[in-house]
This record gives sequence, C-alpha cells and structure tokens, in this order.
Amino acid sequence: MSRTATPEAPHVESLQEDFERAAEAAGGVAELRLAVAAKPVRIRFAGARAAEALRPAFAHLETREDEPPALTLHVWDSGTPRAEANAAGASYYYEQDGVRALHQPASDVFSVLTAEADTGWFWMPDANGLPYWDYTAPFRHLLSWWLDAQGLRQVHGGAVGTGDGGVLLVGPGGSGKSTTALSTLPDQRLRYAGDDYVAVGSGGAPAVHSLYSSGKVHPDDLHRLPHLEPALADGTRPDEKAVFYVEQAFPGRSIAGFPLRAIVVPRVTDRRAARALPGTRAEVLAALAPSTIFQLHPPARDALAWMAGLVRAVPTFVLELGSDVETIPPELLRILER
Amino acid sequence: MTTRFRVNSPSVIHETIEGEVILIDLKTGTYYSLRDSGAAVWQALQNGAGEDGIANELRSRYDASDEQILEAVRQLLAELEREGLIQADEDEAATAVPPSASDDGAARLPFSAPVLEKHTDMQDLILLDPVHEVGAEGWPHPAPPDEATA
Repeated sequence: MSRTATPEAPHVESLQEDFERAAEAAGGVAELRLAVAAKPVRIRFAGARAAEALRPAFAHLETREDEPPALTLHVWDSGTPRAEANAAGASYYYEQDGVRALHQPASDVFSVLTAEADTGWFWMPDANGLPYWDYTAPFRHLLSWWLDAQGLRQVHGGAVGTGDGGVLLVGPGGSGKSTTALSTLPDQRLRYAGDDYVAVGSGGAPAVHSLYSSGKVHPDDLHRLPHLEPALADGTRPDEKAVFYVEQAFPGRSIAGFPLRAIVVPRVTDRRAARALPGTRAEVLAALAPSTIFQLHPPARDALAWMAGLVRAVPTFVLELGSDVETIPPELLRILER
Repeated sequence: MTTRFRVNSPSVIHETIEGEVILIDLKTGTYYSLRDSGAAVWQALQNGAGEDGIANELRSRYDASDEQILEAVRQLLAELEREGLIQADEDEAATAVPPSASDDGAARLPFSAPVLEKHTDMQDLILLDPVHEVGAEGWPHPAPPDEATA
C-alpha cells in the first residue's frame, strides 16, 4: 500500500477514497450491522465477496437495528492472493495525533483507526486468503483499540455461560481454553461467547462481551470433541487448526455476553473426570495477563493493573481437565451455581 | 548510605496480588513471580529500601540469622538485576524503612530463601509476532509509492 510509505499520520481521507473506489469496482458496499458490547457497529465491505469471507465470525452479533454507529469500519481487498498468506511475522505499530495504524507485512494486512475511535479502515490483499487466526477473529486490533475507548478491554480468553452469568477461561495457547469452551456445545444449559478473544468490562459489575462466534481446534484434539466434526468449515488445510462457526453449526447456542461470575484457568491433567478447584488470584493473573498483554498491539502497560482489578473482583478457579470432556460442562455449571 | 534500586520502567510492569508479585518484562516476553520472602523483598525495594533496609525488613518477619538473610537478599537483588528487572539507582540514597512487623522475635515465620520463578512460555509469541513501534522514519518496509492500493 502506498500509504504505508509516509512517515506522517496515515491519510485517512485518501484511505476513504481508496475504499470507495474499491467498493465501486466490486459492485457496491455490502453492509453488516452488528451489536458489539451492546453498541452499534457497522462494517462496510467493498463488495459481497469480502463480506461473505469475514461475516460468519460475527453472525451471532448481527442486528437489524439502524442506530447511528459507535464504530464504522471500511474493509476492502485487492483480490490478489499472496503465496504465503499463512506466514506470521512482525507487526509495525504507528500512532500520531491519536490516529493508530498497524501494518503486518507477513500477511500485508493494514489497520487504521481515527483518534475519535469511531471510524476505521482495514485493507488486506485477499479477503479469502487471510491466515486462519485473522479470518476467525477479523479486525481484532481495530476492535481492541475501539474497546479501549469504550472503557472495555479485549482479553485473550474463552467464555461460556448462561444469560445470568458465565466464566472467563484464561491461559496461554494450548492450555485447554478452546477444548473447555467447545466441550459445552452439546450441553443445552451453557452458551458460547468465544474460545480465544472476548471483550471484558470491569466497571461495577464485570461483564463479558462476545466478539467472535468462531471456534478453532487443533486436529490432534478433534477426537475428544466428536460433536464438532460435522460442523467443521470446508477447506481447512492440514497445517491449520480446524475451524467452524458456532452460530452456523449450533444455531442459537452462542450468546452476545453475560455478567462475569468467575475466572477459570483450565489445566490439562491425566485425570479422567474434570474437577474444579479454587485457584489463587496470582496464578489466575499469571494465566490471564501475559498472554493478553503480548497479543495486544502495542502491548499495553496499564493492562496488568486493570486485569489485577478484574481478578480481584470475582472468584477464581483452576479447572483440571480430564480425558472425559463430557465431565467439563457440569463442573462449569457447578462453578456458576456457587 | 546504601544504594537503592528502581524497577526498570517502562519495560517492566508488576502487580502484587494476595501477597504474590507478578512481574512482566515487555521487551523479552519473560514473566516472573515472587512469593513469601521474595514478595517481602520486592515490597521493601518498592518502599525505597536498600540492601540493608530490605534485610532489616526480612529480619523482622522471619526467623533466621542475620548472615543467612543478608546473603539471601544479596542473591535475589543480584538475580533481579541480572534479569534486567531492577537497576541500582546511584543518585538516590536508600530511605530508612522502619520494619513493618514487630521486632521482638515473638511471631517470626520460618525462613526460606526467596525464589524468583521465571516463565518463558510467552517468548515464542514475541518471536512469532513481535510488535515494533514505528518512529519518525516511517514504516520499515514501505511499498513503492506508485503501487496501487486496491
């Protein structure tokens, strides 16, 4: 993108012109209306193809309400697949006069948000060629910056619960967050708010807000979650995690959010049945904070104190996972009943 | 006068929760925890105590010989410095911090030397997706200016 070459703040006017040109070439704007953390968000895609590629992750948050949006994102691509779209790599963050920008050269994805945090732009080479961690969690950095401006935070964690309250599942990748969250889908009593990134508000009564209805599971763990096999999205590459969308595969089972009742650290053990034990606040903070902070771009210094406040506000547990994943949902319900 | 120490801000952030300290080095991705006597050292260090003041604080809390405590404090301070979490602040004299617990020896806890627990599991994440903040020189890998955007 030519805009990335300038040392000044990104030219938002020219980004908008680029978007409008792309939309015209792609047959018009496809608009998605969402309620994210109960706030109206509008995503304007240049053309239906880009919209269809990224829409499934937000299916549970779609709304017909036509309120003035708190955030409008403009999303477009050039339809040029990259040979190595799945490469990870460094991110370059830039901020001037409150305008925030992030360029991820490996996938060549570019995000910009205005100082008012009400308008953003997201450009990618090919809407159908994003790496799986991007297309399952679209606009993650834009949403994270916007959430900050709303007094909310994006955290690295899964969340499941009921309308009355739910749990935040925290820990680094591979700790069992996804397995725990996805194990609840056959249980009619629990609903799904995410397996990797959710928004959390800590004011007064802490609450979880769902961002994505996507679910990801490592192919090696799929045999533990046989209820997911019919739901897997087509085209998963052998080197990727298996991806599916909860709202498509289990209609009505995802939830937009709930009051936060507990924070739970899953831990893989050689037990058979899952077992919830009280967890110290320090071990829960150690599971939540580093992996959240290092996935924020840029890492936020004040996020540690904020998360410590969250961890102090609700009961904390360690959930020992066993080989029998069917025993996980009853343990989570037991935590919620306390 | 003994030297005081300061936390290596802004790259090191820390939080104490239920008596345990969590420290995160934002540059390396390494995070650490300190409990019990280690958390007491950290608290005294935060209060501006130097090596002697920290040792006095521990003596008031724990049942151990002066030499044992001083040696343990020196070792932990050296390790915290080696890990880049603190640095000696030569310009500032340590403040004399009154011990927080009673010094009459009545209710001291059994002493075990502080341990700095080190966790490196985030380093892969940092290596995989480091975040560089871009300065006035602009984006490090700009595309040619004539390249079309979309």
